[in-house]
Amino acid sequence: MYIYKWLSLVQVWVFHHFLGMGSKDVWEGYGENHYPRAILFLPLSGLGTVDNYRHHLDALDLTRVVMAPYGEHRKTRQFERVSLYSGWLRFGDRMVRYLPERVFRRFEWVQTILRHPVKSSPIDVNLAEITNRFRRALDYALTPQQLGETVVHYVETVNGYID
Amino acid sequence: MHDKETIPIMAAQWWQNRLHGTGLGWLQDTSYSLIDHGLICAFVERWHEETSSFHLLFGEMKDTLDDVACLLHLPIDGMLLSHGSISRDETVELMERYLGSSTGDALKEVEKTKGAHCRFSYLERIFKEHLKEQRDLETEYGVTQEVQRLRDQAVRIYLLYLVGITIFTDKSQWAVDVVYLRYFRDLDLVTGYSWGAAALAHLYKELNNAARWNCSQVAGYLTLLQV
Repeated sequence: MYIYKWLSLVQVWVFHHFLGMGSKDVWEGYGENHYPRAILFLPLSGLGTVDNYRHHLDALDLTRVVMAPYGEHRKTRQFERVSLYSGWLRFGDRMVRYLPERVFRRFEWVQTILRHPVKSSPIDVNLAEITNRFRRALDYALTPQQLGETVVHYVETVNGYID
Repeated sequence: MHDKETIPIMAAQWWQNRLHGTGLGWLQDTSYSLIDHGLICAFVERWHEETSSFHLLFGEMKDTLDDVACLLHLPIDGMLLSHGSISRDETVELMERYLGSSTGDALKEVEKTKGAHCRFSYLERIFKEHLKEQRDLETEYGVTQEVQRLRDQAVRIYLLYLVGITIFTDKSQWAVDVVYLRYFRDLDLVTGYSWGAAALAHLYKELNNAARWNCSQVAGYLTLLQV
């Protein structure tokens, strides 16, 4: 049996990226210079049924999505290029894919058409190799050529991304 | 961990400096105890393991290292946590050496948890003992080497507890894997690890697991946690 408590991070993340989903109550004592963003929203409001949330997601368009919510927060926490590392991460003896190119708009670039995940991160690694690669994470980060054009409205995609 | 005896001690400057020097101090304030099952389920249903992302109508979305850095203020640049499971002998050794546990206590934890874990209730007990002991020694002799040693151990006890109830919650709800002590050996080096990448990889792993169940099962486990 597995335990899902850490999934509460998803909840905090949703509050920041999806308007109208979950908590809208903010803590009045919050100061952008002092605290991590997770403290901003109070968790107690906004409990809904799974059906409500399913309908919301089914009807969702990009006007209700905040791709880059941390503008004001950048003074406290600058963007670090390691976020653009692309490849494998590990936790204990499990490997997971980390592919920022799939959410380019989050990083202010136009979304490009995605490659097959096995092409982006072939299963040619073992756990020790993942540790080695992350040690040189910037060598494995997306390059300016891969990044392409910057967005203006955070909604842009190349032609044919989703028809 | 926080009660009327420990809170005044934890307000001290030495505690604040040492705890926040590790980059993990904010974890005590950034974990939600109330989980919105419906919200989590609706997202879990759209999670895909092959891409580590939620598939939505307008494209994909995922938690990134940048999210973890901004939301939790965890360090993201640094070495990956790289461990497998450890032996009972190493568990006992780590506890003796870095938490100041007696051999008897350490062996008891290993036996009670049937592996390389120790119980949160044990950590709570020795945390209080350490804080009080260092306070009493300091009152009598000042900040001696012994006081420093007890303080470092207290910080490690707290960190192990903290990661155990937040970013590294696992299938044992009442105990934490002692292997994380390896990264707390030198408190000045804790911030050199990418705790953000570990937290994110663990999240992806949990989402991969959750996506295999249906919603009522996921909700069941979440409810279990809130007891």
